[in-house]
Amino acid sequence: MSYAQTQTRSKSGYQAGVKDYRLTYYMPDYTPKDTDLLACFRVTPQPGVPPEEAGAAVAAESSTGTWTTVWTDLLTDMDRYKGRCYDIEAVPGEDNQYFVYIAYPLDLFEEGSVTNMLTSIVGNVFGFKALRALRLEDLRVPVAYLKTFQGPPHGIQLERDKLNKYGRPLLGCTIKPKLGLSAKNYGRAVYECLRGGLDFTKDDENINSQPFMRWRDRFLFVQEAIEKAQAETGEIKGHYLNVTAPTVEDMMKRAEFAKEIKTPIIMHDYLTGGFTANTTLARWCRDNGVLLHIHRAMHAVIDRQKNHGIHFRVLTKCLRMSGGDHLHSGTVVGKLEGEKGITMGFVDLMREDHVEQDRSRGIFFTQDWASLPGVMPVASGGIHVWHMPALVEIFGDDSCLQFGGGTLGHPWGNAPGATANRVALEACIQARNEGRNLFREGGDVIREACRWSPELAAACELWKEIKFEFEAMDTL
Amino acid sequence: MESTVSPPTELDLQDALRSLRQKQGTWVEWGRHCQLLQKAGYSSQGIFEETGFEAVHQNQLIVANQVYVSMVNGGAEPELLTYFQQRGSDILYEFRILTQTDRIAAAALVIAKKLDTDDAHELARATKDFSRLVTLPDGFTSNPGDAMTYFCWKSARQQSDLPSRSRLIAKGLKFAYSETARQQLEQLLVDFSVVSSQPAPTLPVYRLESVQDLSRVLPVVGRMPITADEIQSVPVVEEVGAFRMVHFSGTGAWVAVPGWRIILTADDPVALLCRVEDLPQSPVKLTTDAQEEVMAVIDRGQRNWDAKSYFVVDQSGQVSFQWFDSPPSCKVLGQLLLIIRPKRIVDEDLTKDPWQVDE
Repeated sequence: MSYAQTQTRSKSGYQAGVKDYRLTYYMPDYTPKDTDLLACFRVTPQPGVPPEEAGAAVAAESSTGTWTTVWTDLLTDMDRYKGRCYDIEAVPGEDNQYFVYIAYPLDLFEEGSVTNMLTSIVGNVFGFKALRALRLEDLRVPVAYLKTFQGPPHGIQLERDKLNKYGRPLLGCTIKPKLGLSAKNYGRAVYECLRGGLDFTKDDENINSQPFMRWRDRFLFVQEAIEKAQAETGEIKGHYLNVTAPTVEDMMKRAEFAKEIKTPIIMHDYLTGGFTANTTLARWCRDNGVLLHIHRAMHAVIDRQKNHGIHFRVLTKCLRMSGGDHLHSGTVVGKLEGEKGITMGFVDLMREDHVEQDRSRGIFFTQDWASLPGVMPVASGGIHVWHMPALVEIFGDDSCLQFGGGTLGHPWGNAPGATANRVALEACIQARNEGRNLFREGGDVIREACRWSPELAAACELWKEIKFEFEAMDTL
Repeated sequence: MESTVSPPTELDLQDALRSLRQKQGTWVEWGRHCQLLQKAGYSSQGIFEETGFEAVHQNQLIVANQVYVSMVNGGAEPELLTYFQQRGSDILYEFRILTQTDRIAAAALVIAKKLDTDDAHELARATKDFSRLVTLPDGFTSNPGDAMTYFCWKSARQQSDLPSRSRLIAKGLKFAYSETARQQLEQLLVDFSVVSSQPAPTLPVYRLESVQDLSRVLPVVGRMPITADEIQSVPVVEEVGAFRMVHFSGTGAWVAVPGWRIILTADDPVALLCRVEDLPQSPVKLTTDAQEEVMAVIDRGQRNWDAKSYFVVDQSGQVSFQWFDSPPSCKVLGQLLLIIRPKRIVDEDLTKDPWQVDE
């Protein structure tokens, strides 16, 4: 390749028409480079479309290809810029589905732009009629590209330093009902939860600035609640103030106000808000020392279908690159073992610095994060005090456990509900550190703690004990 | 246990603070002192200001001390305890997620293999994951070293990239505890089956996923006008096997119709071609070109009248489509199942464009 970024290739001449993609884009001999961005798609071709052609078509349309040859192809070095389908394998246990591996040269992507990366890789290709379905399963983002991203504004360790909280998961609660409370009543609920022992409370994802509670009023009442709870408990507290807004300017205005009133953490819906807005907000958060909680509203639209869409592990990687200190991950509790493994696979992708390929957990590529800060996984939804041993065992210390109904549903009120959760958590951590096996003894640990915590005893009475089964399924 | 110990006096607390400030004793004692102070109501920030131990460090010492105590209670070897009394709070902190037995075994491995904190972090995770397996994999013991080796072995088997595979094998060998685990890993060194060669094209296999994937072949009686004899003279078609194969002899035309439920459940379906003007009165007739050719599918097996269906009847030797509000007096030749109209082509170029692309 010459020093020029493009070159003209005239010797082969222009041949108009529609060519088989595989002639240009299927390259089974290709060995991916360390700087290539690798993607694994689950492809379901239409009957009669060979997987090689389907894979090559995906590679083509997500890189340099168009449906027909064009004159201007000759004005550049296609070999430098084209995506390459370098491997295809049948999906085990599925008919008519193939894993297709594609390598994209680094030059195809703008530095520091998740938006551009996704537009390139999944922007148009899902409309290809030769495919019945297409799902992006995983990405390997090369270190060279990762280094162009800021990533999470603070990361797990710095968040702990800012909060001065170590050695246990953080505890949170989403204020319910999700819509309809006035700002003053909302602030009251926040205060009760924080005073009772939670570290964080949270706006629901669709609380933005509705007629019943405008954002500015909410921010002020909530901050007052935070300060009161901090003064009474001597701990640093926070509430994820949702700054998601109709425009980026409005979003930034809300974030600026949150900083002005000295709130420690704000929140954004990164999928509905969009990656450009999220990256802007994440950079602002680092510059201004504000933690950033990320909600994944709308993710199921994208990731729920098994054979079409984008897997959440990709959305997780995208968020870590775009920036966010927390990200919802699901609770794992109550799921099938296979799903647990998959969930813990993308939890690792959130917070570890190096994750090895492990197909049994859905990790298709070894991913090195090049010291990009970690994202704290948030387990939320349908959990209560009896789940605490399981959650501690599965998620470990660096996580945020959110008990919404499990706090506000306590028979004695919000503050006792919060206390019950805090007591249960600390009892589990103490037991684990002393070497007790929470898998087997978790129920006993909770029952022992009930003896000296009436709030926990009342919660345990209300919700039923679960049987903690974690039966492994080793699938290579 | 703690509740039986008498609460610390102010003197004890001052001693603890002084000891921390002057870094007296081992880290095990520092951890004990930090825990004592925190339980007595000192905030981690207050301890930091008095002693210089940061909150994160206090947490590490407290947790590592709890791990150390559990190892003492678990009967760990004196040499092991002596070793970790002098150093390794960061390593024991990583072992907080392990059970008492695994902590001792992992700590022994740290000494034997000279592992650092990063190794200990990985070892703890691997041991934890390994403990969740229902049965021990063949050739591996429950020792943490073998747990780590197992995950390296498992990852290496999935790697087709030789340098990555070699790196994982080397890492596994570093941790291997039992000879059998080592052998499992060494077998990978001579297994070159994962090395990719020029692949043959994928065999074009397709599993039928719905009944509609397979068409049903129908005999075509002809074009209207058609006589009743012509309809009745078409032989019954028998479909054989999973692919609904049809044997035929003689001459005649055939047409394939998608395997929709109404087609598949018909007893004796035949097709005939007609024009819209031949159809009974209906909104379709009013809005469609009367000369448009359509295909009627008739089930000759259904000849019992009902008021919800149209029928093909014999009217003085000629076939026509009729609806009756009461049982007809004329001869019923079959039930009209479906009238299929040709695909509408709005933009002919659209069918040539393989993409739905927003450029």
